Amino acid sequence: MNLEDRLRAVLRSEAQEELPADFVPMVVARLTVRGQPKYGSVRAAGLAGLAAVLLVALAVGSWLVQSWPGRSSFGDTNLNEPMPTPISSPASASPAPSPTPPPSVAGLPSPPESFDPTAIPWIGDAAWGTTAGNYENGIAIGAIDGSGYRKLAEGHGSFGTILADGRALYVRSRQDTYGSELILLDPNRKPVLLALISVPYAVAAEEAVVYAGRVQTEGPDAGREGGLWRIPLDGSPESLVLPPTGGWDDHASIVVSPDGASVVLGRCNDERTECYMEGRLDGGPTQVLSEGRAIGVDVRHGLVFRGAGGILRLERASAPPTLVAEFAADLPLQARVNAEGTHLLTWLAIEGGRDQELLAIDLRDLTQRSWRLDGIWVLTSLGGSRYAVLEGVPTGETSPGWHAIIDLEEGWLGFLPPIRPPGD
Amino acid sequence: MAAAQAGDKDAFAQLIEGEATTAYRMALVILGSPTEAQDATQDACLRAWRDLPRLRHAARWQAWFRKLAVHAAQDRARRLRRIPEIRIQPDDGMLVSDPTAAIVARDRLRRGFRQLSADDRSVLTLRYYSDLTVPDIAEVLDIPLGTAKARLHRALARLRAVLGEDSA
Repeated sequence: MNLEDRLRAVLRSEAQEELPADFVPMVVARLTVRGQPKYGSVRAAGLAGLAAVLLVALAVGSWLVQSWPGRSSFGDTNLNEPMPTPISSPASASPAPSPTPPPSVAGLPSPPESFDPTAIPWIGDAAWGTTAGNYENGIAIGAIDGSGYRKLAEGHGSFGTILADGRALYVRSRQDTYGSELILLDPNRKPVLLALISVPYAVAAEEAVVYAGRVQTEGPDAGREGGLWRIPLDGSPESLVLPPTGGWDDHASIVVSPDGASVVLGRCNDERTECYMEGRLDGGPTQVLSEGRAIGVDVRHGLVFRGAGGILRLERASAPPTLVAEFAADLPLQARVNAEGTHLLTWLAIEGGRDQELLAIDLRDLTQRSWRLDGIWVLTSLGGSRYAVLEGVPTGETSPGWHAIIDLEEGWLGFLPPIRPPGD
Repeated sequence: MAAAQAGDKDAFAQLIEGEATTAYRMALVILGSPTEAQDATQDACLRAWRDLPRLRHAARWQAWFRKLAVHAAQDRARRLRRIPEIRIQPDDGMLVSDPTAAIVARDRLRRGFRQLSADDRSVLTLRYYSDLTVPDIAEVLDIPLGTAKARLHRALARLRAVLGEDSA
């Protein structure tokens, strides 16, 4: 075979994979409105003075948290109704993160004096932050006031998870096609390469175990999924949870209950037009569970997933799923179940994408609350059971690192400026 | 198309839904990194959103978007030369390898391809991955036809040199 033919074969073998299912929604969420000022000229101009004042506050190193009580709606919802109606509060009241603190908190009530940002479970007192620019990410630990700040890793286009004990999991992309490196960063020890994995991955069991798709590194299937593995962080032997499945080896999601009793792997076909989930619920047998895309495991070990008609819950493998919230199939919806499994959080662009709504559904009684923000935000996995935390998406006009925080119990919405090391 | 050009984000989402994967795979070949390829595809999408009102012929959408994707991948490839890969701190810490995660040696041809410049990888990708004709390559890269032929020839020659193969 000549060089051209060999090259053709190699290049085609290099590019088999699909974009993540949420790629297009994420891109669309970053789009600005063409021909209009980023935040709306009237608002931006009227609030510029306040922004300057808040910038000074930042300069002296104070943390700013502004609350927004009264921006939530609360009540029982009839699941037969269409998607919950947004609350009738003032529209576009909070902007995307900017080089200055969000200006549109002007005139809104002050945060509760008792509120302590260090109480937000970023997971212990560790801080995850974007460290530089639009394209470089990193992991840093330290107190939320910036003390004890220490970068564990920084670089180009990667992400990770900070564990409760202050260690961090970090994914480093490889320059070949053999998956990504999952690295355990310990502030007091050398980094450990745990495995070559595909993303996503999930952590469970007091954050001592990682569930991840391993990537085959040898033989004709090199570079392909090698099934779902349980990888203890203490070096104990790994175990195969689910074997690879030919033709359905695109791991679209991995969800695990905190105790590891429920483990579900979502698999999709190459086109991601058909997805199904298999795994175990509440320690039961491993089996195919349902069609759809897994979102999380609730407090009762029910599987919450996106399927026909919206978001559903499967409490027993033998019983049909029940509807939790109705959503059209084509909505660019970001959804997650919080760490304790008490709330389903959905983040959805509404009204043409300029405004977005966070909907929190209490999975114990299916009551709902909702909040609206404008600007570009991404729902994070931070916040424990009580808070929803959204990270501002930096654009050409905005700086990275702003977080919006919503207290799911008291209903207020506030903003935290970027976490920076002292003197940075 | 008209709706997307008028600012309808849903319509734009439908447009890029059909093209993003193709663009991503092309970027992946050029960049060799899924993360970088995703970022390049995103760059192309954002640029497409910005410049879409200037696209006069809807029938040219695919070719136009492919052009944006290739340029975005080339830009990223040039950035990569300046931005070091992930730095794990402390700097002197050796990575402790899991013996089960040993990595097999990469294919010789793949490694040779990776040694080429971004421009060489781009032209070879368009020819041997996307199967474009030389005139189409010239259009995507915004270069004259003769230049496209010369670049393709030189890229293949450099690949042969890297691989230590005689030119055939």
